[in-house]
Formats: sequence, structure tokens, C-alpha cells
Amino acid sequence: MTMPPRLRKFMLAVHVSSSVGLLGAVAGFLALAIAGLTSEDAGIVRAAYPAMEVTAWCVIVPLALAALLVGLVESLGTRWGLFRHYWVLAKLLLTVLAVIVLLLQMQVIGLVADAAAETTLSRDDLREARMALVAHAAGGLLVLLVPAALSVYKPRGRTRYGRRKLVKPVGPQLPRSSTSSP
Amino acid sequence: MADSPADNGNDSGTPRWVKTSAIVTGVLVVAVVAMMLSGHHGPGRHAISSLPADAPGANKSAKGGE
Repeated sequence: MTMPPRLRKFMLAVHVSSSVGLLGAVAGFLALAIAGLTSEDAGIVRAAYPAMEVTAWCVIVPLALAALLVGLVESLGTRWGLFRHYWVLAKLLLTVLAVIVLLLQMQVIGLVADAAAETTLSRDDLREARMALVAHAAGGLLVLLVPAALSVYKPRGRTRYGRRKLVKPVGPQLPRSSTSSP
Repeated sequence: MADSPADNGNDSGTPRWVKTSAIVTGVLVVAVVAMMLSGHHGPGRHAISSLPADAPGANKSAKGGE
């Protein structure tokens, strides 16, 4: 089933906005994680981790889920499909991985945020968990840059399923448009 | 730039970028699994060993939060 062009454009706008917004939010989260880990100012350390928790719950998690769900709907609603092209499949797998790691990290984020809000963390307090937040944010940022690049370059390659679908085409071709990707 | 599925249609077999990415991903997965099995990675391993005793995180950890 393919979506009407206007709906497809709208879904694409939501998908691009949520994905790019997610990248920016994770970059901000990383900046706070680095500040919380390295700052000598107790006030900055005390503020950074609760701010990270709010950012994660109110911005990063919603945007990540929106990017994933809208991407799913968009790919299934266009001729690109979800399993026909390797680059679409790679985007799906990377986004699912990022969401899983994000949700697993939420417990650590909450733990450090609670500790930072109610006590004065010294440089060594929760050192491993705080370093893990920096590492996971940096890794997440790198992982999220890959789907962004895949969306722009759209490297060639159909999956076996996609090649089978190509043998028996259904319906008219999509109009040439740079905005038709999932 | 390939803008539509039709532009990507003349390929047969698995492209090199897919094979390379699969190898790199496999190596990373093995490395992460090895780290998890050795206790050096994973969401539940950030023990609150260096947390001040009166910190809320320490209480959570003691209650089995980790």
C-alpha cells in the first residue's frame, strides 16, 4: 500500500524533523555528560545530571520513538519498502539498536541524576557510571549519524526479497524526487 | 544520487558496502558480548561502589536496583 503524495510528504517532514532533532538532543546530552564528568564546579555537576534526565525522558526518548515509528510507517507506505533495500534495512536496525541501548541506559541516568540532586558528587563518585554516560552518548551520536548519511547517499543494493519483488513489479513507478526516502 | 527505488534496481548480489558493514558490525557485536561476559560492560554493571553512603543512588543499589 502506498501513501498519497501529500501524506507521504508530511510523514517525511515528521521523520526528518524527529531524526535531526534527536541528533541535536543527543549532542546536547553529550555536552552535559562531559560537563558533569569534568567540571570542577559543584554547581554545574549538581545541575548537569538532572538536566540530562529531563532531556532524556522529555526529548530524546520521544524523538527516538517518533523517528523509529514514523520511519516504519513511511517505508511501508512507499515503494521503498522496509526490507527491499539494504540501506533502509540498515537504518531500521541501527535505530532499533539505538533505542534499545537508550532505554537500557535510562536507569543509570536516573540513578546518577538522583545522586547529583541530593548530594555533592566528588570527582570519583559514580565515576564509572558517569563515564558510561559520556561513552554511550558519544557512541549513540556516531550511530545516529550513519542513518542520516544513508538517507542522503542511499547506497545501491537490493536485498534478496527486494530483488524478488523487482521481478514482478506492482503499480506505477514513484516520481523522481529527493524527498521520497523513508 | 539515487532518488527513487528504480535507480537502485540494476544490482545483483550483495554490494561490497553491505559485506564490509556486516563484518564490522559482527566484530563490534563480538567485542561487546565479550565485554559483557567478562563483566566490563552492560547496563546493570555500574555498581555504586564509589557513591557517598547517604546518596539516594546508594540506597537504590542496596535495595536491588542494580
